[in-house]
Amino acid sequence: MFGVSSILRRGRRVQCLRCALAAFLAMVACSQALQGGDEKPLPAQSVDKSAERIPGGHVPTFPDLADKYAKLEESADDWETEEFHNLLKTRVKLFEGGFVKEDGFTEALAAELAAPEFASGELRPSKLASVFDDGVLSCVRGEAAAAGGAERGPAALLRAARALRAPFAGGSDIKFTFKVFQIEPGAAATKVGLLISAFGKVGERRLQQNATWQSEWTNAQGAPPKLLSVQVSNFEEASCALAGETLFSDCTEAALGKLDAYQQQIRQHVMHWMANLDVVNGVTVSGHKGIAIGDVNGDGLEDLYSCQPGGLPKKLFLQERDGSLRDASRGSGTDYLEPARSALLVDLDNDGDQDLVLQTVFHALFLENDGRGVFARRSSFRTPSGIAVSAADIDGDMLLDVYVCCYSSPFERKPPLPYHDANNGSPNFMLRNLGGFRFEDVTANVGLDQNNTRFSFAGVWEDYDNDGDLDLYVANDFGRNNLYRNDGGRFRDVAADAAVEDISAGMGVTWADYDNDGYMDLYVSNMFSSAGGRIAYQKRFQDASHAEARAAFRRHAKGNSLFHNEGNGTFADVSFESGTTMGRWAWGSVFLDFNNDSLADIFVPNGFVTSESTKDL
Amino acid sequence: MSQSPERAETANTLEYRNAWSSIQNMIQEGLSWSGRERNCSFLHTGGPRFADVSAITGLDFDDDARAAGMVDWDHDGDVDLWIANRTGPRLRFLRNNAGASKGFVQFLLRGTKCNRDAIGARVELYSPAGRRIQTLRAGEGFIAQSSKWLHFGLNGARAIDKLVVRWPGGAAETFTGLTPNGRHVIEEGSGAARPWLPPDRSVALTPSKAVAPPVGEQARVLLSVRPPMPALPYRSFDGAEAVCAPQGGKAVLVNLWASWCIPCAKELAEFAAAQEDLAARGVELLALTVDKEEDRAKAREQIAKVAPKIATGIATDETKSIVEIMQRALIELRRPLALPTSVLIDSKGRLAAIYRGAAGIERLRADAALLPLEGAALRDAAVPFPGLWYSAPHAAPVDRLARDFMFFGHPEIAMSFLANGATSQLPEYGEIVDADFQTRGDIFLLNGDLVAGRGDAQGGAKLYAEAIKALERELALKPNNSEALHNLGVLHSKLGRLEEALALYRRALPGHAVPATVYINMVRCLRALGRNDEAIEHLRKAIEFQPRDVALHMDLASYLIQLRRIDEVEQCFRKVLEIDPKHVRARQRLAEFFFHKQNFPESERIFREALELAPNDQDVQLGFARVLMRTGRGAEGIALCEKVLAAHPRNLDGIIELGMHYSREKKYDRALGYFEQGLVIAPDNAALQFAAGISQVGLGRAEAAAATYRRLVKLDPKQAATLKDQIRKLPGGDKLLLDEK
Repeated sequence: MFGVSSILRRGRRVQCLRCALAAFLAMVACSQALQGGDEKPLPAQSVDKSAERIPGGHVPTFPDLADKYAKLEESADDWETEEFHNLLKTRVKLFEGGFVKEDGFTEALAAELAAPEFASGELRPSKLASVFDDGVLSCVRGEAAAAGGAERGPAALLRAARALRAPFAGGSDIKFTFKVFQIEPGAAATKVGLLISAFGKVGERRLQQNATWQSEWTNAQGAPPKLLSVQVSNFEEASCALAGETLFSDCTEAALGKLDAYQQQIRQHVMHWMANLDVVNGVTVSGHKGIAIGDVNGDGLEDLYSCQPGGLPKKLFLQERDGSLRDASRGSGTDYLEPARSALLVDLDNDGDQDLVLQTVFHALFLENDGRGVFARRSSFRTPSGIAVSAADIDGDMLLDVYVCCYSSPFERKPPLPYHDANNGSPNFMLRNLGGFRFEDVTANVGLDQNNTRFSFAGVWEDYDNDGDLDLYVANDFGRNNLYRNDGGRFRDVAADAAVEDISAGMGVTWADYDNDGYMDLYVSNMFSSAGGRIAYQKRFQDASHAEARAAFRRHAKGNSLFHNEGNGTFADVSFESGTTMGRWAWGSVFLDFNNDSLADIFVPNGFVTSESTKDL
Repeated sequence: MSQSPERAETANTLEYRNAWSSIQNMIQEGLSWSGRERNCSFLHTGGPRFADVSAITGLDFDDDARAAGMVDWDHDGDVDLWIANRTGPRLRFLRNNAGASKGFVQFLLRGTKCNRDAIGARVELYSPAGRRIQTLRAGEGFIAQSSKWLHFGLNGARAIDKLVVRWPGGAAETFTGLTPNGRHVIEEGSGAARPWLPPDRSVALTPSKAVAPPVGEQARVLLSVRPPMPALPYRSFDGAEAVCAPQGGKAVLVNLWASWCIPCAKELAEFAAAQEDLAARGVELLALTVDKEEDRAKAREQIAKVAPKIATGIATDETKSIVEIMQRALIELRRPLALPTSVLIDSKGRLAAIYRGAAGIERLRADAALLPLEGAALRDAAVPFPGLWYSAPHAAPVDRLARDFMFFGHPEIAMSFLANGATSQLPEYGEIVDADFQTRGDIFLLNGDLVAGRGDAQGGAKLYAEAIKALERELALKPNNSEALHNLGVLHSKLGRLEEALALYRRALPGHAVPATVYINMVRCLRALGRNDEAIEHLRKAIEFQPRDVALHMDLASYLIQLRRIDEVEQCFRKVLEIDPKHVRARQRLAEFFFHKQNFPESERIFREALELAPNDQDVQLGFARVLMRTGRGAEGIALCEKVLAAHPRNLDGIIELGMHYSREKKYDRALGYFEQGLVIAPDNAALQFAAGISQVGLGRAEAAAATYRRLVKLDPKQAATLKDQIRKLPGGDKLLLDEK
């Protein structure tokens, strides 16, 4: 097939213009009216004929995308660091090229990268100490020695780089990745903060190196920058020795591969369904389609319920004894075709089986299990823009109540305002279970209507103050989160007092007592944006804004947050020192113990929108 | 988002909104945003700092992962993960290989006095590894629910001291007799843990690499509800205008193709072979070439050879544009129009299917069989897999179609979707979800302007009335929708109901995206009502919101001049020059202000600055000439005026300036020459007629002056009276004027 888009696109721009003009006329921009009439007290009148007029009124626009596309070329956005960043990337790529090859660090390469005055400490500390070793996973760390010796220039870089690469000698599948998180232009040199990660297979081990590089680069006009120095911190080397395996193995095909539902429906990218379904069905680009795990038919094996875009049936998969899945959707009463976002398998009527709460885009549906995995829809509650559901018995009547987080799409007619602290989203719902699958909205009755118009993604229950009742933490996009403390059935938002407002793009919540002090700690998924970091660190960024707003913007790009519960009702932000911020564009992070050592590890599912296009916004 | 505004009150700008909608557009057009990111894993090392083990856990897929569910799926004593993704495969199962070697214990809680799942229970496990606590939660992370089995790793501990369960709303209960590597059901109030064994099983989950198929370029979308297809204009190969708009009779498959497109040629041959069969199934074919003019002969030849019996024609820009907008509005993934593309229009003129790439004869046959379906049956047939619905079938998304057609330059087609009160209402959902009455109002307003602009005031008013109806419905749903309030104000203002308009504008102000616009429209009403002082106040408000909008400052100046509030004008021009020091007009007007104040040195200085910016600007040159003439440099001034006139012979200001100069010097013949020159350009200019008459009086030409008077009296009786008095003073003047009667 061949695209004919360029012809149409050109036409489209002209039409847009025409349309904009018409809209402009329609909205009576007034100034014309002021210009008319008799006004001659000054000698000779000449009105400003060329002045631009303000377009009026609500104009839902499809703005010309040309300039937005242009902005994808980073240098076109006029942040000076972004220009430098483009130059810099080519340099670090050279380093990467040297790293991934056996003996890839050559004198020529070093000469191209390092300035003659280059001086650096170790890139891989010579003194490394074990901080963890359970026989499978291990981790060593060390402080890199600062620049010391007399060696300067490319030779110094060559020696340090080869030492860094040495653990990967003889390895395969070697990768080197970097993120530029900070650029500070200076008169003599530009300071660049890099997050470095390298990994590969070496014999039976899988190896990963992580480090932070504070580096300095020359400011040569037009010419590619050269390295002046590197100071390494946070160096760690982790390995997994499991007969060449990773700790987790992808057994998707074994579990699902034999099912038509997998081959034809689940395996397909959301974009495939965006392209092949009528828009009225509700397939959206975001792909927020959750899962619920529970034993649906009481056979002692856990089963899986999977939410799906509109127009595609939700899937109920029952587990077989061999661990694979059987598609039990048809006839189960759960294979709805409306767009759904999340689900819970919980016993809503205390009859010993797992009922289903299904959150569609419009409603929370409540379905009763007959005990054998066949469900009947008993009721529904309107919860517009609903996303995530979670359950807790908040009134002690033995019945599970349901909290629904609602999110207004910023892409509809309600962009978040203001971006870093938006308060114009859809309200969340606290639905009280009255028994018999009847629910009532008690949001206001219990005080959960405070700060309840944010763009909420997740509400997760936990008793953070160990007073025996469940409190609720709500992660909100574009701004501050809520910590609703439960005071005898009444809730109060104490996020600010507890120091867990975490102003940023909150997307997920998980709790665990990671330091085993008896108090539950909090981990919140946010977004780590190295571009955001680079720009937000620049003074020019939001020059006119308050320092506070600037800090909030900065936080927005900083990444995930780990809050240590201090046991006195407040939390300490230990995100940076715990090394857990860089979760990229993170969603449903969870604490779990990977390796049965009784300590809470963290898994961060992430990535926003990947398409075939290699261009990224 | 580096452009994101800081305060909510001023943040709601069109630019910011547009940034959002263009990001949305770009994603829908298939761009990535923070894409290809790999999942991260952090290992607890026992100390305060976690280790980044993302690349060695095997969880680092770049699937746009959303949700993670934790469960010991295979009962091997470690926590496995189900991950839900955005890209394919949209589910992944990750088996944990840690195994039971370090020991584990698992608990399933049973509430008897609390909820049966015991959601919310806090459990404390005591073992030589220390105290570990967990809470049973339902709903965690993001849109995920994990297993209700609580899992504890034991880190090699060989014994378990006890488990303390704090039941939700109840007391703590202690359980003992727990064994490592065991599973226990813990029932509230029972005081004893019950061992639990998984069913007999032999798990066979072998690893492999699950990959998603690439998103295909081809697509076929069956419409779940068929929207009206706008009449599709095209041309015959002979250039005759034609239109495809089935009404009764057969359905039509309109195929867009090009002579240079190889898959098109192949498909046309298939169409030719299947033509009769498809006709028997109620589908006719119309193949329209998108070839450029120079290739059309070739295209005509080609199709005559390949598919001689098929109806053919030329797809115009309009044809392509309509197909592309339909595709854009009805398919979430926005891709450029491809070749071949076909659309199936049913016999009632509604769009039934869109095929991107070759449609395929088999598929067409199958889809033709669905043509008689309507409502729920059609919706069931249009989705790829069976399932349940709890809502009634959707109405066609006419508002979305209308909006897209409006913004891609087809306001009339846009309106056609909204005719007869069509809505996108979803009755089952209990409210109108998609119907966008605001956009609807805008569309009628725009069409009203178009119709009124063509001179059909009545037609325009009818559409304005529709617009008002739509906006009032919008306001019934969202009483504080400030943009709807504003546009309703605009409509009332257009219909002369200024007080109503003002009241609406006032209500629109608090939440409006661009308050300046609202204020400006209020200014317009206030001015028309003669409430000038209020109007000026509102204009100043507008400026508060857009202090750097040069045009607003200039408008304010003009208005102030008109109200003779000359002293306030200086500040306006100074503001403009502060914002834009190169603003020639503001500088010129500032110089004129000083001229008016008879501060000629300052006026001259500023004119000189303006001249430096725009040496050839007629208005600046003339203003400067005026200063010269007023300050004893008449010759220089005249020369400059003449220079302007030489370059721009029709510059009325220049002509008048010279005429006035000579008139002041009592050189009436030269003056009259200029005034007559001016009257050739502007015969109805009263000031010129008056000046000419005065010159004629000065030259003693009573008869000519009287003739001028007769012309002037129609234009400006007041000035005419003054002239009359002058003529009377001439010999015979009275008589001439008497003749008049």
